[in-house]
Amino acid sequence: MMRKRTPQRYSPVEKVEIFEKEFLPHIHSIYNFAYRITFDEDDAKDLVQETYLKSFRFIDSFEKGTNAKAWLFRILKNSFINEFRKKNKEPVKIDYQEVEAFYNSDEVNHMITSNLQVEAVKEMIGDEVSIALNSLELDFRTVIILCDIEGFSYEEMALILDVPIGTIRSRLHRARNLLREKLRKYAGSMGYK
Amino acid sequence: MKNVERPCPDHEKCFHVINLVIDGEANKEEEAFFYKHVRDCLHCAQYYKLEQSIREAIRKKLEVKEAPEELIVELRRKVKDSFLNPSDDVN
Repeated sequence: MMRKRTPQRYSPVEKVEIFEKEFLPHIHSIYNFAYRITFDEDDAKDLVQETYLKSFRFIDSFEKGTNAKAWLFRILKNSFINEFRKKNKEPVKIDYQEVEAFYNSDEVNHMITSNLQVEAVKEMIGDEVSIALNSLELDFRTVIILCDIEGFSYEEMALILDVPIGTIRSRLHRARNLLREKLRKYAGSMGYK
Repeated sequence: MKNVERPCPDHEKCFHVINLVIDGEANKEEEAFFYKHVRDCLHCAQYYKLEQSIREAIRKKLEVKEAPEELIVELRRKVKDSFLNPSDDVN
């Protein structure tokens, strides 16, 4: 999908056609993702604008008809990381070992499953699910969004995030355990049975 | 069928396979294992339903933020301007 390839040489007309027909159709997905990682509409707009302008500037690196959506998400991810570095803000790093030890334990898997009911999840409204998702740490929130909302495959996610597929699997596993736990707590506090 | 109060002894493997099935990433052996197993294991069958309901809630209940129209207009304008001023990089 995003293998190294010989740069293309598109005419101006071809460039505009690719931009309009292959890049712009994904703008709402891109914006939605940008908003979910920045939590700010202005920051999301800036990030999306930077992503699309870069995509146009480097359009000769893109092979027409291939996975534009994944390509755009990768550009956005890199832009986001660079923005953090520019502002000297490192994304919050979490102690994965500690989280893994807890959330992969037998006891927690049983507890979380048996105490959160399907009916409770179905009764939740969007805001409640949103709060639970937004409270996840960035790396976990990202994989949930890319997989469950945007429908990327594990391979695509690995290329977008520039990590091994094994990391995607384990990160998704932990993210889903964390999300279930947050939904369980929320359901309990709201009196869902 | 295994009692839900006694978690499945293979639950680590099962949870992993269930997520692969829901994500469409399971191979044929994993799918076959899954469909055979959930027929007999209530604990895993419930976990499967729960995971599905959470995915559905994320897909259907979350508000989708759409890009503002003015952003799209601005992007098109900048792309067009890049051809009018070819010496300028698209910024």
